[in-house]
Amino acid sequence: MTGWLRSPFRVWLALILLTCLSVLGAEKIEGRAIVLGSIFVIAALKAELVIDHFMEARRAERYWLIMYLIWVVAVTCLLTIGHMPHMWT
Amino acid sequence: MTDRDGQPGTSGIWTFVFIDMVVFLFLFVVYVSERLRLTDTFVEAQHHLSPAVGLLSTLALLTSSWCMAEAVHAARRTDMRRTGLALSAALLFGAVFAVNKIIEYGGKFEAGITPVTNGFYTFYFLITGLHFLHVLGGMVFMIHCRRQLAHESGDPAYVTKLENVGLFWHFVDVLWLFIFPMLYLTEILG
Amino acid sequence: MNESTKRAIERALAWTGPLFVVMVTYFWGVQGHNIPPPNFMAMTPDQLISEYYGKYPEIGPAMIGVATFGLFYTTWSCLVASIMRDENGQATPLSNLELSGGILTGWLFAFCGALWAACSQLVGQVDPGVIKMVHTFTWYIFDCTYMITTMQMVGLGLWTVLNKKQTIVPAWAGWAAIAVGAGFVPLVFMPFVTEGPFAVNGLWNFYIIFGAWLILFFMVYSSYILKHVYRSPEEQRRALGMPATA
Repeated sequence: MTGWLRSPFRVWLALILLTCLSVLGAEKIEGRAIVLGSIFVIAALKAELVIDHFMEARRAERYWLIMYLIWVVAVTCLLTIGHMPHMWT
Repeated sequence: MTDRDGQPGTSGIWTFVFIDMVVFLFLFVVYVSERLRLTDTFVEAQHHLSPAVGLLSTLALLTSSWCMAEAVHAARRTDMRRTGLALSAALLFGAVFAVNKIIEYGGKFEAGITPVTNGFYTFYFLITGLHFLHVLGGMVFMIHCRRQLAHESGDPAYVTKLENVGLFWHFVDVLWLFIFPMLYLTEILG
Repeated sequence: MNESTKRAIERALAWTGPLFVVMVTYFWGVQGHNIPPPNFMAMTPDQLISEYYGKYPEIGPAMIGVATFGLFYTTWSCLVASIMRDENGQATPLSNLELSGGILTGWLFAFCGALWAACSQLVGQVDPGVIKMVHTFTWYIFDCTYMITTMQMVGLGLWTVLNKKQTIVPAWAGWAAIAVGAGFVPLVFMPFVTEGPFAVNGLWNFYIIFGAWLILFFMVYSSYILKHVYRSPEEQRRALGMPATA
């Protein structure tokens, strides 16, 4: 998978597909908890792709990659947990 | 000058982006706390945002980010023709995002919706407004790089400058990747 | 002026920064009952008197304390501006930006402190509506002129980041100063909201921005400035990126 994503075009293609998936999922799939959780996880996956492949964070000092990914995880958890009460109503 | 062999951009831009990330994290924390307090207001207000408009913004920004990545790769190969083309395309898609956002804001103001309409719109205008300022800032830097291309092509300092602008631009993209579902998609579940 | 006198003055001015923070926190925050401040936008004039000015008569003297010690921010900013030189020892437009922002911020504390003191002292003598008007006017001046301090922080931040030869303050602190300065922008919402994070006592417009200013800007810069003024003159020149003297 990582090899396939070596070209920026393929990364872009994956990003577009994931974006369409989250919009379609939000509109078509029943079950709020699954959808809400999924759209933020998809956002996190997309952010990881951009940080890893477009920003090339792996080529920077290691702590930048770690801190940026911690930020992605923190924002994903925050937004998912923040919308939790909404999921079950 | 690159600070470290192989590291894209300078340490300064990596630091700046991280600090900016923390500022937005604080904003998201406050947004979530208010959403929990005023859930009904937020959900009702989110119904007035169009996911299609948000989707178009996302596609434009992702495409712009890809073009920027291509520009950086081409500059490293000193393929200046391709660098110029990719930079112009990145600018074009950035402009699509900007125009889409201006039309969206215009529609809101026409409907009498302002940042003080309710708690949700305060955040909507604040978060997207701050993000929009980042987009405009990034575009100014890209225009600068595009104009300097003819004079500075082949200069390693130019590649580093372009990498810095690219890192900033991808960060703007990363921010939007979370802003989009947070503001435009969660209403579907309301 | 001989070198030792000059250094004594620099060290004294460097300590006026922490003194400002301690005294203003006490007079404005504790004795002035502003942690958090009353949400006057959601209060009637009578409520403002019964729940704030009339209830705490110590606010008057406290605000005179703010007016006095608030100007220590100006003295600290003057020292910072004198340190912010280029490698030739010259002042730069960025140091002027820092200086003007620091002077005006100090003035803001003195001016607003005096007006809040007047509100407190005039309770019972003038109509509550007039008290609320002056109180509101003063808060608008205090919060909505945020650009004064933003300007100072951006000037200081840019000098820190762009002056690569200086080693007085690390670059990350400069970026943090710029980010915190930009974080003041939501203060523009303060006059228009009566509740939530952007109200005068809200999570963002009170706790986060004042907290970030104190922890991410002031404490960081103040500690590096204190470290700098206790260096030898030769070390100070080196830290500024200036050539060593023969």
